[in-house]
Amino acid sequence: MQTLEKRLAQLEQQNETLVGRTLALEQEVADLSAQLTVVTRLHEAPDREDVVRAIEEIVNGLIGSEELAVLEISGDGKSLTLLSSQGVPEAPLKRVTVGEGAIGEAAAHGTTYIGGGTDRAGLTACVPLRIRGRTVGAVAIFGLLPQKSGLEERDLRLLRLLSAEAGVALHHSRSAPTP
Amino acid sequence: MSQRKVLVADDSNTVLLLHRMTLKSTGYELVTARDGQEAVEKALKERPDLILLDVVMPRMTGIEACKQLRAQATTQETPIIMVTTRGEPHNVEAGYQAGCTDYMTKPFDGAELLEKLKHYLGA
Repeated sequence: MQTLEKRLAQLEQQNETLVGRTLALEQEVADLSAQLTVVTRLHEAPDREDVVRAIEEIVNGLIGSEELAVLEISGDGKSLTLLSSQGVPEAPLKRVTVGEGAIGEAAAHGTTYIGGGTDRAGLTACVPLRIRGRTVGAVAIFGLLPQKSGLEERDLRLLRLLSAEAGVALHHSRSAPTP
Repeated sequence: MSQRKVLVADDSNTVLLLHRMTLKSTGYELVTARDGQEAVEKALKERPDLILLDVVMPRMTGIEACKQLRAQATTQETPIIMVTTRGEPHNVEAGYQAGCTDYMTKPFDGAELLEKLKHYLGA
């Protein structure tokens, strides 16, 4: 009887471990699906307008923010100009000097700024859009959706992907002929 | 057992693509709609086993689509999950008032979606 009870306890333990592993694997598959979605969506965007829309949709649906701005570097590389914005006043973002403020610095250094929404501008993150080590634009993310308390590790992975893939898509859409 | 059918209505190409990616290996058949009106039409035609409705959509909102689906005999009992950025309590309440079965808020979590599908459609 004791042997049977011991065996049952072992099986219950094994079952618990397997359930935990299954859940972890499902989460991993879900995260990979999100990453694949970012890559595919940006690569399949046929023109500039859709590249910008794709960036907005990724930030809305996968990161969880409806307050954002998409900016593009000017020809002389000295400033960023606003391509689109959602939920934030446009005026301060119309033209941002590279190297100034969190957005300008993210563009100048090519590194993602994570602010947690507590800085003066209410910026949660600013992602430089890069191609071959060069910044071609930036995505500024301000407030997150009410049900989202902060950026998680999987969000940061998506933002790294956005930096590279949206950079390439935006760069190529500059030279793509308008359909 | 026949393949279970899931109807997803969302005006975002990214969200529709994400659903496609998430459900790819699960064996569920995916049908998509770009707005509430199309969702109602496709639900009546395709008879899905479960419906995922975004709330804010052009032509007809998810809330209105949900009400219309609940008024039809063929979709009266179909599980409807509202998927939206609007997670505030009054918005959730509006979804339940319209007759939805469950509620999910964006940002979209594929693992949570699969849990819901398993719950309503079986593994």
